[in-house]
Amino acid sequence: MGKRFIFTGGGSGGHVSPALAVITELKREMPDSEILYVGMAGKAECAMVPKAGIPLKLVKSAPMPTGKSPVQLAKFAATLTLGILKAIGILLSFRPDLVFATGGYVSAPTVFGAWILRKVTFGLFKTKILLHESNVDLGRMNKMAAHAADFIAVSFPETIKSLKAEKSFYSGYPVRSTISQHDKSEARRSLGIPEKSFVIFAFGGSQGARTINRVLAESAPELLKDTDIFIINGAGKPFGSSGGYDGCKDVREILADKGLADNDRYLLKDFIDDMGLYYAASDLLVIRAGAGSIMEVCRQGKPSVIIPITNLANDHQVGNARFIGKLGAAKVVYEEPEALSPTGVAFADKNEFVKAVSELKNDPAGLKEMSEKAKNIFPGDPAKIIISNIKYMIGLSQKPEPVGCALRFNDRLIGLNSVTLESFMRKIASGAEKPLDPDEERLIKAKIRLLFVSKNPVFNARACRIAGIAGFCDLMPSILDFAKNPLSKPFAGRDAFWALSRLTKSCDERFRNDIFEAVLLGISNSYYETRFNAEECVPAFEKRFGFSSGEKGRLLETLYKNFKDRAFEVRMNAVSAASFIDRDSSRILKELQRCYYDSCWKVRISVMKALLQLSESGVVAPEAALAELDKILITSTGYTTEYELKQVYKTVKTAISTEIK
Amino acid sequence: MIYALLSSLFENTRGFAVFKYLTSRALIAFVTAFLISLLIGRPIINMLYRRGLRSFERSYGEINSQKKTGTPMMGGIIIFLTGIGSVLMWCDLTNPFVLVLTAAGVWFALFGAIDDYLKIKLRDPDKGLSRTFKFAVQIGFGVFLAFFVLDPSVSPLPSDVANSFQIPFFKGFLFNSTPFTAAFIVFMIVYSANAVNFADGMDGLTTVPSICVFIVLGTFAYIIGNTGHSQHLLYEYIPRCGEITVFCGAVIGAAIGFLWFNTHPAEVFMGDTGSLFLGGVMGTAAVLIRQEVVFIIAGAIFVVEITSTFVQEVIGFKLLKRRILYRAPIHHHFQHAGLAEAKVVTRFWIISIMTAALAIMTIKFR
Repeated sequence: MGKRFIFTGGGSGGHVSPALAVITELKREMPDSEILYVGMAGKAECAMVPKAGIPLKLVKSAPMPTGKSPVQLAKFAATLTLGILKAIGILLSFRPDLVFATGGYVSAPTVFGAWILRKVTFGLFKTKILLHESNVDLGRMNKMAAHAADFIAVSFPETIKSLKAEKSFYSGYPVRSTISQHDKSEARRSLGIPEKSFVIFAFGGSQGARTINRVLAESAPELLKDTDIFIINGAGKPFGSSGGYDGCKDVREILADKGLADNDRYLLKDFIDDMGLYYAASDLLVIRAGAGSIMEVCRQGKPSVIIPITNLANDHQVGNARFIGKLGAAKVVYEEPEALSPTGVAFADKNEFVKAVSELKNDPAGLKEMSEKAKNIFPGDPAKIIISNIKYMIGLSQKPEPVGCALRFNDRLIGLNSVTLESFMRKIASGAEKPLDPDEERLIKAKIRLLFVSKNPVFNARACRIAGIAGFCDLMPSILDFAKNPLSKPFAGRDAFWALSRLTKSCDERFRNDIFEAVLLGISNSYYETRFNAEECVPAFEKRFGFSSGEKGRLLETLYKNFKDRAFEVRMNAVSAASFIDRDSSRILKELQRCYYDSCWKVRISVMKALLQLSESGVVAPEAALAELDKILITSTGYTTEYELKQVYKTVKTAISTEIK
Repeated sequence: MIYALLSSLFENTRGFAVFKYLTSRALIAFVTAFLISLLIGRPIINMLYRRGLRSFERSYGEINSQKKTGTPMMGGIIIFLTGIGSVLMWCDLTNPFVLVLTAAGVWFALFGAIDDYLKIKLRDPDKGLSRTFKFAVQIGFGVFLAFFVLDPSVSPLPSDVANSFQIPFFKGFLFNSTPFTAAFIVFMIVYSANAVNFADGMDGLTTVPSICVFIVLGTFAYIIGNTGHSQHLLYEYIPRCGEITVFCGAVIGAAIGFLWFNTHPAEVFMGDTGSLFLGGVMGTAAVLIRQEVVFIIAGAIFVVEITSTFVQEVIGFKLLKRRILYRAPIHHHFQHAGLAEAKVVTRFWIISIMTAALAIMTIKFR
């Protein structure tokens, strides 16, 4: 009797096509097996699975809500429970030997249903569970389902490190082997491309990718100046009749705008049916970072420029792209957040793209090396590896030898959200982590820009802080924006000044006046935290640029007012800022006297330090400063505790530890 | 239990009468709880430390000689064991008020302990029981208590007192309304549990204000449960509720015993186990004697703590997107501005003594 298999997973084509590829291989290897696909109504699998001649059954499922709203959670739990019950019914009537799930929430009911059945029947129900993960970063569904699964097949060797080693194996991302093989010059001849050209082939899947199309069309004038370059653009066409993004039309309009309509070195295609031919003809590919595209391109041994979808919540495209980039098989160009682009959609920086392409073009040896590396990234045939493991799991064969997957690197930037990104940057600043390399810096800046355009002021504020910690002076314009309009977003304004106080010391001359204006407004802002952070910028500004006497006068007027501010931190920073810039000894001493009996001892500390500063800088004579110091109230309501026992513990521990070394 | 034993053995013996008086039993319960704390405090603290039930910073780092990191948590167990222990010894366990208060103590201490345990084991103060779950636990008890008070078939309170709303400075009831009282009881339980929980942030900060509140509640329970005194002072008499005084005595003894170890610099923190226990019992006692407003006055410090948190988190962070106080809850506000911890705590003690005095004053000014 043939073995029985249930395949599940879907939502998008990216989850269905690997399953179909495995099914094709399975039918060839074990022709008598029975196969059932479990999907969800209205998703990609409903179109793709029946077309492949596989019986399809539908269950309900829902994505886990991101928020913590109890109503949504309850709705999610109810839907999933219904789905699981239905799936259990299907599992009981079909009694499969193995469930193969490719991830996505569509696969949740079947996987958990099988797991529950196994638990409640104490092993009488023997179905095995095999998961497949397409991306470097584990999907949310697979992260949870990993506990229930017997084995997890991963597309990238990198992923194994976040799983139990004995439960996971590298397989790669199965694609249907329909890509034809062609000779390079033959392919060029049949496409009408000059033999000696440098062919750039850009495509964004069947529906096209706006970012890729746009950056390519926008940079076409510059690229085509080089008469060797030939561009093929698979721009895509809208799915069905519902409209949507029409890549071809979009590109045609941009090209016409640039005076490049019907250029004979820009081949615009709406749909490409024989990918193999185009792969064979091309020298460089421009792609998105979906697991399928990457896999296909690498197996063709083609160097590529990858433009991943840069998104904070879901890092998997960035993760995939960086993996290939780090292994030296591709260049990565990050796209910019939506609101920053004049057209209101995500875009990739044209200059960066042109630079990447021309660098690659002028380095034939490098290109060759890249294509060699690309070929080696995904060894073996994914579908075959999975089939041999399936056979082992259902007891038909011995455990297969693992396929070499020595290629790994630890990507420390993947999976960071805004909070963890901030603490990560602090670690770098304190030296606990290695400094950023240029590529990492580009990614982090892209992420910061994404936070800058968020509607949530907490994210804006965090972006400012991160930029301040990292010292990214080129992000100054956005930070100044927040600093100048702090009323609508108090937290963002506050942290913009915090960042300014750190960035001013090394920033460009052209921001001088903007910073001054911002600080002048900031020190009289209605929000106290903005006031004291703005005051902190004053000494930094004086050190970097210096104030004119007119500017000083305007600042000091407000700063002296702030000596009697409600918030003690404002008073503290006002005292240190004023004493840093005021050169009039009698005036500053007179003003400082107002704080000698300040109710908060921290302000008095500030006054004492100010006296030191004034005497060191020669504004006030040391004798006079000393005399003033004795007028200050030194009764304090605060002190620092020091636990002697813990101190000794620490000393002894370090002493013994060094002895060990 | 000792009470039951004594009363069955020496019912007619001369000298036993001393155990019959509420006041004397309250004092005995108080001393007993304190003495048990001294006995079991140290071993429990050491046990907690050995089991790794210690406080931690957000990033569990090295030992910091200036910070309290590493101090055993879940010290609320000491309060719970000694308080309930003394109650079991000296209270009349057939008294419905005592039973409900004991149930409140067990319920809140249990979930507080689970919360503490999860937080410590997962090394993240945000990973304890979820906020929704905690609210469900508190509301759950509130609903139970509302039924207990308002359902005439089980309620030990006279029906006209049960659904009354009383405020200080006014004789009699302000108004009677069952739906209002039900909602108000649930609110009081949620309020008192959370307020005491927020106040628990410095060495000894929760203990003394709680003691003050229990003294006030104990006094009121004694007056209201006594036919003569309640008539004389114009309070509505609630039969048998004087036993709450003994319960309060036991909890005060437990709290003072805990303060022995918890006073600055602390050897143990009470954690949610302790703060939810104290808050839950406090709110329940106030509800049972129908003196919620007196409780709010006596525990004004708790009102300030919870209000400051609300102002900072909801009005500040959520609505205005800015800070309103330096820090919240309010004791951290003062600490941030430079007041030493011991000073903040002592000042809060002073305030709670003053508010307790004010609450006692309302007995006469009516």
